Amino acid sequence: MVLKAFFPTCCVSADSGLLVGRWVPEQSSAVVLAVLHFPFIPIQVKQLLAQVRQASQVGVAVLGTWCHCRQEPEESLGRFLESLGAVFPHEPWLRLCRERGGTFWSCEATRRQAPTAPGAPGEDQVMLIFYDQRQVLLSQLHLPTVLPDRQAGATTASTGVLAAVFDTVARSEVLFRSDRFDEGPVRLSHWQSEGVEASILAELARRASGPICLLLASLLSLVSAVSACRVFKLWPLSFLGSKLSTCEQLRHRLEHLTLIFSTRKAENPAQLTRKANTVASVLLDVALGLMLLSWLHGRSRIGHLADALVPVADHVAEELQHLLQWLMGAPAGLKMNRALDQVLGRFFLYHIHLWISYIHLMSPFVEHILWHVGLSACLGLTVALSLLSDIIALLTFHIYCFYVYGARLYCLKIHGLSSLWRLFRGKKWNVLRQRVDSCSYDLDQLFIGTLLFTILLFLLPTTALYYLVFTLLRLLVVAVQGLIHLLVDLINSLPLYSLGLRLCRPYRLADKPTALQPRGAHLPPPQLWLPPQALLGRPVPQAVPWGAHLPLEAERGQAGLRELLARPAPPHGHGQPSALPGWHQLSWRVSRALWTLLCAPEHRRPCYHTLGLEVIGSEQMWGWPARLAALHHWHCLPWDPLPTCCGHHGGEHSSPRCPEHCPMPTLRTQVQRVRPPQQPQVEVALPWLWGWRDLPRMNPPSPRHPLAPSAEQHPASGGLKQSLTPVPSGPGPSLPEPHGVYLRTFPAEVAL
Amino acid sequence: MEDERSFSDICGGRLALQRRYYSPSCREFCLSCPRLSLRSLTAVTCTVWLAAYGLFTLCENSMILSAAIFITLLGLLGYLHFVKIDQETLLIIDSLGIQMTSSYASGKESTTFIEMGKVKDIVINEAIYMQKVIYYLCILLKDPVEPHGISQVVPVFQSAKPRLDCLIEVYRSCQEILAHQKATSTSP
Repeated sequence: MVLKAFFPTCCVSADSGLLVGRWVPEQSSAVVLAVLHFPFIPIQVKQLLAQVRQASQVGVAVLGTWCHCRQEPEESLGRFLESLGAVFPHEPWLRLCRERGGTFWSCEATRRQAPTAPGAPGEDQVMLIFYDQRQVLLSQLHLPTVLPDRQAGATTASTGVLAAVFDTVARSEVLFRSDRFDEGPVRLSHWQSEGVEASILAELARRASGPICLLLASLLSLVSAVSACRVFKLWPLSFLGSKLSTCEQLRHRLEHLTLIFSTRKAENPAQLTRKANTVASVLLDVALGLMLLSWLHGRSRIGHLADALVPVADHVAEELQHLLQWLMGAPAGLKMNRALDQVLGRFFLYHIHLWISYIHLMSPFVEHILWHVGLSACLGLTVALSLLSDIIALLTFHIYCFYVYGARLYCLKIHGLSSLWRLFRGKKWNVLRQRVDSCSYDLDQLFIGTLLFTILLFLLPTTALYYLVFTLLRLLVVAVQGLIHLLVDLINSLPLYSLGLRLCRPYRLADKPTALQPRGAHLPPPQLWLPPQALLGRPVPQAVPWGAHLPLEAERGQAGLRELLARPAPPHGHGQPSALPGWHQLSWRVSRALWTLLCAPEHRRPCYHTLGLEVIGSEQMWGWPARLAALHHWHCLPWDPLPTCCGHHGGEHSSPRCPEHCPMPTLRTQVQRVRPPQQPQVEVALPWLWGWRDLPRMNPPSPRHPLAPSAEQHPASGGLKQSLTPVPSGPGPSLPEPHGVYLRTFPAEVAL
Repeated sequence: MEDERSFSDICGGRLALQRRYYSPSCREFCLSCPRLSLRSLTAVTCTVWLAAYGLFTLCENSMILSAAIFITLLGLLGYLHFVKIDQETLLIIDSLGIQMTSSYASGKESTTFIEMGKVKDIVINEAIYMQKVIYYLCILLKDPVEPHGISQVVPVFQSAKPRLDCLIEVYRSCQEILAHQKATSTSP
């Protein structure tokens, strides 16, 4: 029988004495917690052990003797140590001996019942294992005390030896509270015996933090109550609040501060880490903001900036005018329709003229505005960056307007074209049945329809070109804003505290062994998902073209989402995850945005304005023109109603994202729906669309997407229907009845 | 007790296997990989420096030469610290677990410890490695959810890559210990 003795490294150089610890009979291991030195009075020792047992619920006892002397112990010492075995009865009795200044160790374990004849099967072999008490305590790999089948001091056999050791050491903290400067009846040696670890600053901070937290928490609750009042929910303010990223960021920061200064203690290490990360991020933010403030306000840089701003705006407007002149001529050698060209060009030129006059009106106030904006940097660099992004959005508002006009025109044209094309073929869209039916038109209807069709068709290149040019410009602006928002998100979500711990005290970040992990059908909370590679929280891809800004992803309990990098699955469909560098992601996002702009879903369907899910009716899927026909840009206009997603908010949202668990398949709820695997089809379908990094229990999707629209004809529904299987209604009951075709959103894939 | 034998790895290099038998329930196997050969080091250094000299004659910028020297030095240090593994050790303790240590040429050691409760079995597996079929020893870990499933396969001696004869020696010893452990764990 092998007996394992866990010995703390701090006691290796301690003087001779008694071994105090706990014996775990199931694993036949002895965990030594401390060494009790001579001289002692046995009664007092027993009293102390009883006290510790009561306070910590750990069966602490005297396990044996520890001898640290110059050479082999003399006869008298040997007999004395043996007699101690009679005073403190314990089975088995450990005898550890170390030669001072040498490397000779001797370990014996004797049992009273079995005869201790050498070679008898009753003799135990001792395996001595050293453990670092300090690191074991601080690594917090402790059994949670909330397991239902726990008894005080008992461990189940399945938890394993090491879990028992960690548990014992952790719960015996009472024993470690006395150090050698305490005047107690006994003298102990353990990891804190040289002095209990504490720092004055930490203690002071802890004492002071109580009332400070209370005060700040009340202040913050006041602020949040004010901001939640009804005035801000009325139309103009709520709309502004949702569109401006500054308000979003301020709200975010308010949440963070509320978390930090909440008077509730963190219940588990994960929450503590979260709080600490938030504190670190806020501190970094404010520090960077103050640096920016000092840089801006020194040497009248604001003046220079303000002076440079208006000429830059003028220059941009001039460049736009040149661009329009170029379009009105023969751009890239294409021959435009002269009349339409002139009309559109003049229309846009007039807008630019208006815009320039507005800028000139505003120019005296620019410096003041910039000065105040610079002041806001003391709230944090993120606020300043969000303000910058908003200023860019406001300054390039004319580009946005041009994009909207071009898009509307193009959309109208495409709808008209598609409808008239159907007329040309003798078909009609049946609204009742939601499909294309044949129809017999009158002759004059056919005549006029064909005429209009021809007109629209030949005017298409002009409109398409304007649309393309302005969309690219808008994408440029959006890309710049996206970069700024990326930076803001990085500062918001970088877990500096964890990074610092990993560099300086790696044992604090030990992972939970499987015996300690929560098990069961429920999902683990998001913060336990942290895969080590994704230390930098990446924002989930936003709906880039929809809306005037890129909404920041709020971190409300969605830490798990952040860790999932959206990556484009390679065109040939391997499920192997690989991390993309940041610029790859951005270019991917831009190309994806372009793709979704050109091939957005049909406007009659409820639209899911997220970059992944595109539901296209089956009858529309015959080639590029039909896909172009299914454009929808209603939501790019500010006065359009936001997509109503669910009934339980009364359909009103101040932001296009539904924070609650909402059947509308926005980005967030997609995640929440996929996780409990209901139907394998949905699980396999969605990774293609979202580009999951790695789902825990997922087989890599098959190389060919099972629901890919292949070119074979569906026998049951004739005509030009592609073969589609309606996807079961995984992503949400608000989907219309199964037209559900999930298209892969890669430009390379869609060529049908 | 201790004994040492020499084997060869899959590319033909010499490996030394040191077996230490501490007790019926505790064994250690130590595989030493061939050291960094002077020939390959000289070859790489000469290539890099010749390339740098070629660039220098094109660009007439002497920074290229110093940059090449720095790159060579840093590359060598990085290689010794992060890539070149000198020794791989496998320590099996019956009741505690299995520990794998890799020590790098710069002295760095990286350790992995697997509790015995998680270990299902140790097997020799075949794998297709480039154009070869090789054998490797691996530890199968239990799946906490499914009792007969395997959650993970942990290969051992990944950088030494010994051949089958060496693996059989290690495998036999490990199986003895695992059998011993199962016998003692099932008996109360």
